[in-house]
Amino acid sequence: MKAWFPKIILGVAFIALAATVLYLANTGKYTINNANLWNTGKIFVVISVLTLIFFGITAFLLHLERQINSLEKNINRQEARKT
Amino acid sequence: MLNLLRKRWWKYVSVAFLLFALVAGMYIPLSSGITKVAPGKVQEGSTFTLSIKTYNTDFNKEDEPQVYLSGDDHSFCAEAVSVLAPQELEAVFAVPDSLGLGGKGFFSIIVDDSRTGTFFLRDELAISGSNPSNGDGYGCINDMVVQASANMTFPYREILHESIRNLFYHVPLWFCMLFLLMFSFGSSIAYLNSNKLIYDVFAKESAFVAMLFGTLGIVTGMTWANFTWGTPWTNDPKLNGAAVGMLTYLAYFVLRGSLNQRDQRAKVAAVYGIFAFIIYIIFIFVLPRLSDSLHPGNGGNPAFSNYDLDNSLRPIFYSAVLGFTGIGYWIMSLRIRYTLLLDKQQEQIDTPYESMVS
Repeated sequence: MKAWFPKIILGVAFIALAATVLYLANTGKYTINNANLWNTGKIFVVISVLTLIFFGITAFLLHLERQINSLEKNINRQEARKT
Repeated sequence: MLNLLRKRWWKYVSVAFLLFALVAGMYIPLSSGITKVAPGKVQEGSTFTLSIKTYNTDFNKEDEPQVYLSGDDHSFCAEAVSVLAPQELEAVFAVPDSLGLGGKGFFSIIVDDSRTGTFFLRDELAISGSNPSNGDGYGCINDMVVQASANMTFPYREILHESIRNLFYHVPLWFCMLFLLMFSFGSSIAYLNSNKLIYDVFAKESAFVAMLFGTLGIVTGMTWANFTWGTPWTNDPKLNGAAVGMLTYLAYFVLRGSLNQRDQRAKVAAVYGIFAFIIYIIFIFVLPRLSDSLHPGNGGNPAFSNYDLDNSLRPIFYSAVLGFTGIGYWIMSLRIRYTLLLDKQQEQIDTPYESMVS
C-alpha cells in the first residue's frame, strides 16, 4: 500500500463527514425567529473569532515545529562534521 | 516513535477535525423545547388553560400543533390549541374526574408539530385528586406519531439548554488527558524495562501536557457546573477525585524536581508515574461509581451514551476527541523534541542521540 493512501482516505472521510453534517444542518424547511445568537446571525461572529484564535494557536505550533526542525538539522549537521 | 511524532499529516488531520468540531458544534442549532408552563398544578375534574412557552419554534396562526399530557398511565390531549406567538401556545384541557391518582400525579407536556417536530417537558404539571379510577386513560395520544425536526439539531434538555455544546469541548479534553496519561504510563513501564532515557522524557512531557489539558477540562467543567448545578464546584466524588488525581501528578513533578541525579530521577519518577496513573484511574473511574454522583454515568446517573449523546452529537463529539487528542500529542511531541535538544546541548545524556532515538 502506498504511503499516501491512508492520508487520502482520512482526508476524503473527513470532508465527507463535514459536508454531510453541515448539509443536514442547512436542510431546514423553516427559519426560527427567536432572537438568539443563531437566528440573528451573530453566531458567525462567535465562530469567526473562535476560528481565528484556533488558527493563531495552530500557526504558533507550526512555527515552533519549524524552529525545532531547523535546530535538529543544525545539530545533526554539526555532529556529522565532528565525526 | 519520534519519526511518527515528526510527521505532519496527522497534525493537519487533527487540526481539521478540531476545526470541524468547533464550527459544527457552535453552528448547529438546538432542537425545539418547552421552557415554561403555567399553571404547574391543577385539580382532577377541572378545565384549565395551559400556557406553554417554547424555545426555537416558529409557530404561526395557520399551524395546528397538538398538545398532550402524559403520565401515571394516563394520557389525554388538548381540546383546543391556540398559537399566541412564534414561541407561545395556549392549550385548553378538561381533566377527567376519575383518573384515580390517589393524591398527586406528575404529567409531561408533549407538543407535536409537523414543522418543528415532537418535543416535551418531563413531569412539569402536577394533577391532584383522590377520586377512584375508572380504569382507563384517555388514549388519544396513541394516535400521535413522533416527528423528527426537519433540521439537524442538537437535543434540547431543560437543564443543559445551549450549554449541551460544552460536551464537545469539556469531555474530549478529559479524553485527551487520559490518552496522554496512558502514554506516560506506558513510557514509564518502557523505561523500567529498557533503561533508555528517551522513555523518561516521553513520560515526563506527556504527563505535563496531560495536566495542561486536565486544567482546561476542569475549567470548562466548572463553567458547565455553574450553569447546570448552580455552583462551579460541588462535593461530588468525580470532581474531588479529578482534583486529587491532578494533585497526585503535580507531586510527580515535585518529586522529579527534588532529585538531581538523572538516572535516579528517571527510575523513581517511572515507579511513581505507574502508581500515579493507577491511583488516578481509581479516583476518576472507580470511586465515583461506588457512591452518589451528579456526573452523568456515575452513581446511578445515566451516561451520555444512554441519555443525551444521540446521533446528532456523535460525529462532532468524536471529531473533537480525535482533534483534541491529536493536538495534545502534537504539543507533547514539540516538548519532547525541545527537551531532547536541550539535553543534547547540555550534554546531560551520555547515550549518543541517534541510538537513543532509534
